[in-house]
This record gives sequence, structure tokens and C-alpha cells, in this order.
Amino acid sequence: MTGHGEQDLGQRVDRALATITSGPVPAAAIVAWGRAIRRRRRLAGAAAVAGAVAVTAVAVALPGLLFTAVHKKPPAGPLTINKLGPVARDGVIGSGTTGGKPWVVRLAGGPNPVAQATGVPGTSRLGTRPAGSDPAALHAGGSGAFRLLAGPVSPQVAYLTMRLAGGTTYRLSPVAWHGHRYVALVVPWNLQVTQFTAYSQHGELAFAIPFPDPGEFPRVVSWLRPGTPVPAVASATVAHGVDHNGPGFWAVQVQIGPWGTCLQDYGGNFGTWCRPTVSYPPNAITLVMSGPHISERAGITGRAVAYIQLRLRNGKTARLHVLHIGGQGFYALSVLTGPPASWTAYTTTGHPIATGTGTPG
Amino acid sequence: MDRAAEAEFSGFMHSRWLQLVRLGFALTGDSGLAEDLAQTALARAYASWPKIRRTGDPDAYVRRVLVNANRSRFRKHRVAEQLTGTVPEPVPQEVTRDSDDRVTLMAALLSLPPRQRSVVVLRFWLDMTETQVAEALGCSVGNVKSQASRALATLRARMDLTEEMS
Repeated sequence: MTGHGEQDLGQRVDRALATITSGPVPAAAIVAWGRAIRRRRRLAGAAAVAGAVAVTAVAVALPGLLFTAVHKKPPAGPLTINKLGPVARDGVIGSGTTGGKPWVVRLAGGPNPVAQATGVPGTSRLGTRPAGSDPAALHAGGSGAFRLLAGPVSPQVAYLTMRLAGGTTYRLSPVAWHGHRYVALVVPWNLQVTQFTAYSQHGELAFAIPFPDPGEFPRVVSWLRPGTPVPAVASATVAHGVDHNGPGFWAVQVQIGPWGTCLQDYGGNFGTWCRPTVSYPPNAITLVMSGPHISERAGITGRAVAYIQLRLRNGKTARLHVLHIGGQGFYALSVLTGPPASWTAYTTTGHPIATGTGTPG
Repeated sequence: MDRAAEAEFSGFMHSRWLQLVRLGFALTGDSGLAEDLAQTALARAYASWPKIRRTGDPDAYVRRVLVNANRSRFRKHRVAEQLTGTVPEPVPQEVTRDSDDRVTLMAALLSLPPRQRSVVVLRFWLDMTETQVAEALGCSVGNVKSQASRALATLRARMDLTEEMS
């Protein structure tokens, strides 16, 4: 058996298991069970403490051992970020080390720059300021072991913090370049960032909980104001099917949470689409996931759309289910299975409220 | 747990659910059991989340818990395993070579003894090292090697893998 053969077996198992689907995540049951486990552990711990009173003398004889167990230092972080600025020299807007290796991030390309770092693919054009009232726009570049994270910050931002799953927090200080301010760093792709927070000179401006995109660097989609209730997480499979002439099994899942709204295409080539969660007009139908070489399509509707009737090019009709979750409706289809010629959207009472040609939206 | 940790766990749970169910299915051949195992792994992860997030590799933790929970299922309850050898998906009317291959491979995988199946899934699907597999299954590296060798021989014999695997 060769290494190539073993890899092939892994890929074939992967393809076979891709046909396994599941219902919604039983999130409430999992959390309730987890809390019950924790309560049981606490009770067991209390019982152990009661028993330990009898052996206190032994513990007193081993204070150093106990101290070591309780106060063991966490391992040193793999990432260091230097404080630069406030104005970039030679275009350098970030420097530090990742896993002991130094990195330097430079801007290039004029007033709408790209960020570049040695050994890491650059970012797309960063722009000069974040969209709307967002405090920062963070673009991740690259697809290898390390990612370049860079973007403009708004004028009122004094600094950003980046908090990791283990609680370690890094401070990112903006550096000015051509009159606009940017932050940049190079990170391992699997760095588990749980929150970015933007601060002005006077306090917290906004925070972002990134979308934990599997296999990708966490994606910042939405910024929330301090004190905003953190939106609950919900996920579901919008639709799935099998394309014999395409990717085989495909599925589109929606994940709504504090990050915003994300649609993920499994089996196809689209990957992940995310945007802040917004309120759509009741009869809105918006196609958000499509591409020239991608057979899956997915879109979002307003709350009034119950289903979409498709007229296919072969003359047949098909009903497209709309999944409602978090005040939004979601639909997905494969145009390989049956390219639609026209469509009509209906309410729950069967009233048509929108119509069009081609793929809905 | 504080609000940020709750939100973090929630994100982790939702993003890993399907993969854990698939791992459970690969180990058990039963979609119901697979979801039970995924729930078990995530509930235990929730109970220890502050500690797990400090380790920086929650994926390894939930995989280990899932594999151990499956082992315990056999050890404690002496479960008589009934394998269907089919995937819980309606077979398409036009069965292509590709979908045929999936069904055949899944059937062959599920026909392996539990330990060999676990080794194949962990070693070749999850791409874990032999040492990691040995730790996850609580056995020696040598045992992993021999189980993998037997499993691959069985798979070769049960389906036409020789063309692409050797």
C-alpha cells in the first residue's frame, strides 16, 4: 500500500461519508446535558473536599506540589505583535513573530492598497476605510498554514484587541499610511479567535464575534455595539440533493449567530457566503450564492415567502421549500438537477407575491 | 461560563456537528447512534469548555471523547452490533459508478471489526498519525499498524481497491 493509495482511501471515505446528513443540531439538549455533567462533577468535587479534610496533614506536607498543580503557567503564545507607528515607514504597517518566525506586513499599490508579507499570499484591495459605521474591515489573505490579516480602521478607533479561545488577548494598534489607518498581522490559519473589540480613546466602540468557518481563518462579518444582546446561534440544512453530473452529494447549510448570517455549500465549490444579518422586506427574494461554474444556487427571502414554484426548462414544475429561521427565509437548489425557466413565490395562504424568470432572485 | 465562552462553544458546536455525526456513523454504521455519540462528545466538551479552550485543540478533545464513548458502548453494554451496510440515504434511481463506489466502500468499511474500522477512519479519513490513533484508541502504535494492515487487506479483498490503492 502506497502513501498515495492511503490518501486515496481517505478521500473515498470522505466522499462516502459526505452522503451522511443530519437534522438540526440539538443545541439545547447538548447544553442541558453538559450543565448536568458539570453539576455532577461539582457535587463529586464537594464530596472529595469533605473527604480531603481527613488527609489535610498530607497536603500540608506537599505545598510545593499543590502550588505547581494549581498555578501552572500557560505555554507561551506562538504570536507576538510589535507596536508600530503612528505613521508607517516604507509602507510597513505590521511586524511581529508567529511560531518564532518574524513577519513584516507592507502596503503597496497606491491609495487603495493591498497588504503583502513575505511567504504569505497578499490580500485583495483593502480600501481606505471600513464600510458604514464599522470600526474596522479585516481581510484575510492566503490559503496555507499562515494567513495575512489586514484592513482599514475608522478614524475614531484608537486600537483593536483580538481575543483567543484560551483567553489570551492581543492589542492591534493602527498605523497611518497615505492619510488612512490600518492594522495588519500574520497568524496561523487555525488561530482560534473568539472576539475582536474596537476601542476609542474613551472606551469600547464595538465588538465582533467571528464566524468559525471550518478550515478557514475565523471570518469577521458583523460588528455589534457594546451592550447589544449577543444574537443566538441557529443552524439548519436549507436543502440537499445529489447531482449525478456534478459534485455528487451537495448541501447548503445556514448558520446564524453573533457573526451574522452565513450560508455554506458542502460538496459544491461555492464555499461560504456571509453578511451581517439584516431585515428583508416581506416579499423579498435575493439570490446570494451563485457562480459561473457552480451548480448550486441559494438565496434569502422575506418572511412572507412560504414557497417558490419553479417551472423547469423541460416543462415540469417543482416546488422549492423555503426554510424560515431567525426571521429570514432561505432556499437552495441545484440548476443541474433542473434548470428553472421561471418562478413564482407564494405566501402560506397560496397568494402569489413575486415572479420572475430563470433562477429565483 | 461567561457569555463569550457560551457563544464560542455554540459556534464550535454548530460548525462541528455534521462532521462528528459522520465520524459517529463511520464508527457505528447507525445514524441514530452516530447522533447520540456526537451529542455525548459535545455535552462533555461543554462541561469542560473553559479547560478545553485553554488547550487550544477542542477538535482533538471531542474526537477522543466520541471514540471513547463508542468503545465504552461495547465494553459496558456488550452491544451486539448490527450493521446495515447501507447508507441512510435513498438510493437514486440512476445509480452511477460514483455513488456505487460510495455504497460499496461504506458497506466494506462497516463490515470491518470495530477496532479495525476505527483505525481506518482515524488514520485515513481524519489523517491522524499512528501515534495519535494509538492515543485515541488506548493501544500501542504497533497495534495500530497491525490493525491498519489487516483492515486494508480486508478492504482490498471486499472491493476492487487494488487498482487505485496499490
